[in-house]
Amino acid sequence: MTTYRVAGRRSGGPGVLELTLVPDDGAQPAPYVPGSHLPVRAGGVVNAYSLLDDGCRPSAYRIGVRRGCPGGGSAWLHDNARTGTTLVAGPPRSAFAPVLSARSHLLLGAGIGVTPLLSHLRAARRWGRQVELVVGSGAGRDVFASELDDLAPPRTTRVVGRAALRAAVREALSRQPIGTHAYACGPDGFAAEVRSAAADLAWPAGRLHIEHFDAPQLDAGDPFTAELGDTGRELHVPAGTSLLHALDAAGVRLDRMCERGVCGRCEVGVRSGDIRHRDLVLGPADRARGDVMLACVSRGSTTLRLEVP
Amino acid sequence: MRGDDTPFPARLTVPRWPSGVPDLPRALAWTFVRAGCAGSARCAIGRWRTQEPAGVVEAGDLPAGFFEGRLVGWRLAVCGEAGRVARVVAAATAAGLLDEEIVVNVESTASARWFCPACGATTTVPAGAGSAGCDGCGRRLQPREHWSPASGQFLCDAS
Ligand code: FES
Ligand SMILES: [Zn+2]
Ligand SMILES: [Zn+2]
Repeated sequence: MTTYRVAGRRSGGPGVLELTLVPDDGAQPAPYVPGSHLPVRAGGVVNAYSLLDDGCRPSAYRIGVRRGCPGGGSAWLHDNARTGTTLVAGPPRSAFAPVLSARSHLLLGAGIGVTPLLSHLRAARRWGRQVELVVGSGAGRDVFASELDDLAPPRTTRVVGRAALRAAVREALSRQPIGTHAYACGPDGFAAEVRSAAADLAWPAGRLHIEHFDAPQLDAGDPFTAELGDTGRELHVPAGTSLLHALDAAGVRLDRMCERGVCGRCEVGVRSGDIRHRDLVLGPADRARGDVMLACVSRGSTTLRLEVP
Repeated sequence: MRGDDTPFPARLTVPRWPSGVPDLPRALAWTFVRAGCAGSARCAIGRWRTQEPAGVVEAGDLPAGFFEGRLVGWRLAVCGEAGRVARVVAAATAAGLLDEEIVVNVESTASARWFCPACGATTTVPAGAGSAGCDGCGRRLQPREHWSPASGQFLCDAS
């Protein structure tokens, strides 16, 4: 985790705040992949916020924050983040990157879901990628409207209301040239609608990329013990620390990407013990077998014996 | 054949064609391609035609621009001889199709395609050949157990 200072604060539309963060030590922020998010600790919880720029040699991190439920981290940021406020955040994480081999890109967004799409649009402009945009918002609830005006590609559809967006998404999905990849971001209901329209139109799963905008906010969890493979080594995983990070500290480095249970990279085998699954990747069959878990979010409700060297 | 000593991906690869005629998944439209397809007992075209209506084309004369104007939802199914099937799959992959969008059935294996690391040419050889001269530069080629599904070729050593 790194300490950042709020260098700017402005409105991104009704109920949406844009914050500009710079490393407090004056260092240059690390570059990031378009569509990445930044885990920010605020009000005692860590939330992921979409980064708004293309991530190429950034001088600061700009994030979009929608005011969430009272008492949450987003509400805390709305109420408390001022120019000069310091915040702790992890490095940017990517789970919604543009596919570089795609012939063209179809970006689908609802409401606050446009935020990672702004990052994609900037990258598309920088690298000259072919892109089409479909976005919808509630009446009078445009998010990042002027930035969208500026970045909108020639093929852009902006609609108001759920039904209009559903129709526009279906229409766009029905006429994409082979080689197109589609990216959707919005509330869970929107993701489900895009999925079902894509399935109706026989889109292969590999061409559809969904940003889980509403990835559940996770509590700190209870402490548990993990045993490492045949070594007999025992690892204590305190509340508030992920198994992934506990393993890091023990010198066992698993692959990872999103660190919030949506990409599936940090999968680890489990020989015994009861798992408290908290990811959005594993299906019911995996869960029933109970022999794998995603170490970035899931935990043990008993001692876990892991398949790690 | 020699092992693959490239650091990544650190594994041996050989083509793994489906055994038995695969069923067609749901799609909006299909095209069937015969690539050295002999209509043998193992041929899939007849069975596929009972599952989906589709045009059938010969791989030998895939028209220029064959992939242009195709929309997501369209799939390709290829039947025939391994080396020629691999060539169609490579063309489809280059045009942007994913594995999920290509169904293959191999009736027979009579040829393989070898990639020359020295000149980049592709040489088609009889299946099971141990070495051959490169069609591009004449160097001696020896195949490794490293097959690229995307290009449908075996990587070779050239000497
Ligand atoms: S790092 Fe993505 S699921 Fe764990
Ligand atoms: Zn055949
Ligand atoms: Zn050669």
